[in-house]
Amino acid sequence: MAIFGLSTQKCKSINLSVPYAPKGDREQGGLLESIDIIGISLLECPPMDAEDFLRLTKLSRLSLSEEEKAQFIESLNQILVYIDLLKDIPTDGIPPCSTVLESLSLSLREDIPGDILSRDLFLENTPAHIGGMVRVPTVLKQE
Amino acid sequence: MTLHTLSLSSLRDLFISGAVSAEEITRHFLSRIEKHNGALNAFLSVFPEEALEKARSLDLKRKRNEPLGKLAGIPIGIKDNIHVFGKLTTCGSKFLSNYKAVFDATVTRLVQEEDAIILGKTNLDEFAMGSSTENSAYGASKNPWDITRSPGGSSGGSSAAVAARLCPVAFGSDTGGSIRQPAAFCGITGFKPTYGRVSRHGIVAFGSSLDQIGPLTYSAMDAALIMEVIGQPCSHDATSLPYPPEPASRILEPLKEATIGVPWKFLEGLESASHHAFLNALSTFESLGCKFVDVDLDLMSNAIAVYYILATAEASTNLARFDGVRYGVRALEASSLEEMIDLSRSQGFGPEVKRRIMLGTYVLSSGYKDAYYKKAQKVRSLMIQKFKEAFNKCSVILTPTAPFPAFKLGQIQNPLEMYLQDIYTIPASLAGLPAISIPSGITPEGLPLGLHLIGPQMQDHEVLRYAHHFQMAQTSPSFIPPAFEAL
Repeated sequence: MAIFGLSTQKCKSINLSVPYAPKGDREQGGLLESIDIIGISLLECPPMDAEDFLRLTKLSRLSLSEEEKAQFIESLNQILVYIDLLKDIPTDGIPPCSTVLESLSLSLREDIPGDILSRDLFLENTPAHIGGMVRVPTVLKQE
Repeated sequence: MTLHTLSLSSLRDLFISGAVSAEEITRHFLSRIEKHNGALNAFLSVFPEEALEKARSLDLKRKRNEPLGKLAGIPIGIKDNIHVFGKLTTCGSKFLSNYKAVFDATVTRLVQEEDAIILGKTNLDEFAMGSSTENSAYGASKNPWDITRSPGGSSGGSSAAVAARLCPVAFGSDTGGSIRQPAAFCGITGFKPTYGRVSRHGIVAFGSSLDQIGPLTYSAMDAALIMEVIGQPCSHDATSLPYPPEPASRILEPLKEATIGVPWKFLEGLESASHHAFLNALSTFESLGCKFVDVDLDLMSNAIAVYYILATAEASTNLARFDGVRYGVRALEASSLEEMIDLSRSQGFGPEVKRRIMLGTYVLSSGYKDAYYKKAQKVRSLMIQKFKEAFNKCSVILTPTAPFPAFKLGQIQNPLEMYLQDIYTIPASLAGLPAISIPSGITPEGLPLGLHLIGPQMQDHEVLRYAHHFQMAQTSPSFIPPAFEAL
């Protein structure tokens, strides 16, 4: 039994349960088994450690509770192991896709200033403002 | 009167002919919302006053014999990540619980110009990230076929509302299947246009190379009518395609000697009810004179990995704007700007949004970008190529929309398992292709199943045409949830 590209063994290795995987349709030689042959290497891409994770929370501009930290490090590692299956697909000489609209030369219009958004309307959504400007806590602190 | 079971064109005709006033239509749907929304949590906000005011102005226009729009008198729901000027756009997030849109999205403007009546805003997974609406900060929506089950996601509020006949059409947005999977779970039609066909101006961005707005309706014909209004170029969206709208009537052309592609190997492992419904759908197309050809989409088994790299990378960038400085809920206890930003984000975002921001940040970070982000972009190129090869052999490709019917709320706790739900819808998103989900059958437990048709880029009308003829050939079952059929 497996689910979309992961054998039971692989599911277990990343602690993924498959409680409602469809029954009886996972014979050998099918799509899922063929992906197993592509394989997922747990060794070559080590899961994120605590130090990586700390760096990541900073880059993401999030301050997390201890409970969230434990939850996210586990689920992110699981996902990272899963997405690592891509590394076995040969892509030498293949250009990276940045837009699906190949024929489209981005249709840029004239850059003409318009009356798009008034200051008053903009300020209605700002959490704090003063003198027509957005107010934020102290940026520079006195030593 | 069963106004809530009528097609968009019948509803409009009734109004135009004077048989029913726009006010009566609007009151009918508003009363259904009042009666059922408590159980379904499909709408996050409803605008009875504005809707009735618009309806009365349409009635006046009609009496004065002034010209009326293509959607005259038709009530519509709008997913709550699409702007309606002056109304909250919460995106299903605590962060934007106080955010009022400062302009109309292009799609909002276009349907209003054609005299549609906006009823309210519908629920969604936070920032459209999810497949069940369970990630909404305002509670999950419920599936009208079984309220213990999910209506799908992320456009689950829209799918539940249309399925329960609380409105005949609602907008959704689709990044990896967020229109099509909820349409399948709720037994309705959900159309994702070609990337760039519909303006994204005024939708809160999630994955900008993937996001696309589209309609959830009772039928492909209704979806075609909506596309006739919203499928047009927009000067506010640089990815908007420069092609004029296509008349809905194009989809009436009969299917002649059509060839449909079926990626048999990609479909192995379907559970029996889904498999059975899929084979039945093939028979229906066969009876319409279609032939089938096997197409090779084996590579698509990697689509989820590609998607969760690219979509989260784009999301981490797009969601960087939510810093508590200019809008949204700001953390008040912070003593510095830096702390305010971190705390506002941490308090405002739910767990799935945080997880995706972190994953996206990780795959873009120094040392990992080539291994993940660039690699995924290359596999995406390969997938686009695979679809091109497949479309050399056929006009549209058929798969189920989802591997299973609607699951129970709370049933899927593991995020990766939730992602894997989208195996059949994500490939079309990655290639920017038009795709539709239409109801194809009902399981023995009474849950609807969806059939998924994918077409080549800019062949939106072809996808709708195949779907329309399929629906015309289908004589049973009824896809109105029994509990919501009556007044």
